[in-house]
Amino acid sequence: MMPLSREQVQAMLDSLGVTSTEEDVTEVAHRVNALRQALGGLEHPDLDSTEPMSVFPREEA
Amino acid sequence: MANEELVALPVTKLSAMLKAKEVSPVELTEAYLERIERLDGDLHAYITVDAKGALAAAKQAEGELAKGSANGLLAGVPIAVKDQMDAKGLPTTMGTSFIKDVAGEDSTLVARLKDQGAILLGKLNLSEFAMGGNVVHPHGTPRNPWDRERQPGHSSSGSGIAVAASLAAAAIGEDTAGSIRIPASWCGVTGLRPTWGRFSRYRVASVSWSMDQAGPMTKTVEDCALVFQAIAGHDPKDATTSQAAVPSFQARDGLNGLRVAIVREAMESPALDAETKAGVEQAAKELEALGAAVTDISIPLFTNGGLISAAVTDADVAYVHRHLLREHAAEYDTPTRRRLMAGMLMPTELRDKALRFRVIMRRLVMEAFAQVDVLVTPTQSTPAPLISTNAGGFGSVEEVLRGFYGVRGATGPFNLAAVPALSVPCGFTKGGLPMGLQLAARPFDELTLFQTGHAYQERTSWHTRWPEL
Repeated sequence: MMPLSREQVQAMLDSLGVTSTEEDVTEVAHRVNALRQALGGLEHPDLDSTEPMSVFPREEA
Repeated sequence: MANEELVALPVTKLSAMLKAKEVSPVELTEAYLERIERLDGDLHAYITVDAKGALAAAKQAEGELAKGSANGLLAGVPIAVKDQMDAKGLPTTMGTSFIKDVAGEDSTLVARLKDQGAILLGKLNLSEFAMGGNVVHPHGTPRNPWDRERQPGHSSSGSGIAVAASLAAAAIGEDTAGSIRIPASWCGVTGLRPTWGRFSRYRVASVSWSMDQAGPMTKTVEDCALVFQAIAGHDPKDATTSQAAVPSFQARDGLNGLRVAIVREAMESPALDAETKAGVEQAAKELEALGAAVTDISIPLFTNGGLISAAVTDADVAYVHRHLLREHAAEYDTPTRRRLMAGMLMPTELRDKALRFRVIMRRLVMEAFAQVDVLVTPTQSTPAPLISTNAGGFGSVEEVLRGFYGVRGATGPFNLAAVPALSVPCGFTKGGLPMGLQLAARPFDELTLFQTGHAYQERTSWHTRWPEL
């Protein structure tokens, strides 16, 4: 996953109607790119055969 | 007994004294209010102190105790809650400068505390919107009572301070990725993040619906079990709460037959401080001496727990704030605003991937629980850092990776897996700062955590030390 530039981050925030400062955009770019790098690069052999879930069946102890 | 000694007692002892009429709820409430008045101008545990309401409730409890009609588990016990939970007639600020709505109704947790006879002292300070990491605290910078130049931990900062500094007999916090256990560890108190679904989220402001869970923060594990029993359980107002029976605490004689494993990846983390590592290793020896079979175990994905839990949470919380952020961006504290903005820009591909990893993490944790009953890790890799080290921003991708995802590294995996986890004090650094031991168990098996933690506290004395204030 390619890193986003400051300009791309600025354009995306503008498109969402969120007001940001130049300093905001710089740090948001670092945050977004950290996630894209770390989670984008994380792999597991079962990833594609695992369905995404937010909660789990109620298992009693 | 002097007020200073009285307020330092655990809930179980206070409750026994109240029932024996050795102390009255009014005397006890006044003792806490006096201490709050004396200390909280600097510690900033509270956002709202409801002295009038607390004294009125204390007078009512006094009458009920005198008549013998006070049957609640927490009758006459002064407690405070994180300012994320509604309490009728009091504002819920979420730690912000711009939200001050007065609640028209109690959250279920507050209602249950009151039903059990607890006296609500007030609402406790927190990181803005319970997200952690903010720099400007509009209601005062929360300070660690062990060293006022240090952080108390986020996001249930005030809850940790209130218990450690004896500004309440117990507190309720909320934990999305570690927000009960981190301040419990850094403030030297006991804190439980229950199984997801144990505690009602009705009128508890949401960070991440599938990760949030409120829980007790107390002086002892026995207190934690008592508060848990008083307020856990199904709530018709929250469809996600479980129908599972709420266990009542029973101590066990030693830990014979208990299988415990230290999570290898948590102990091999390069970020782990040497004193904390030694504290956890010594705690494992104590558990072994109590009869537990202690081994170690590998959960390969464990070190990515902070990253995955932050991704799940940030997508959820960005949605929660989508309107507020557009209308009030400048009023948010800078790190909160930037975190929310980054969450809004998360690609669906990564959101989906994080949820898939969540399921894999759950499976790996449950596979570990097929072999052992309790998993052990340090709660945090270091003791409380200085407040001045919280720069509030990240100057590079590397700083985000280390400073944002890393801090949730040991706690996040258990939120993802939706299992209960308990932090208990396990020693002090040479500099006098508390360290925390994290214990985790199978879903809905809080009882094993209470029994293990209680046996450990019966054998050690870390939980009986309090800062001199």
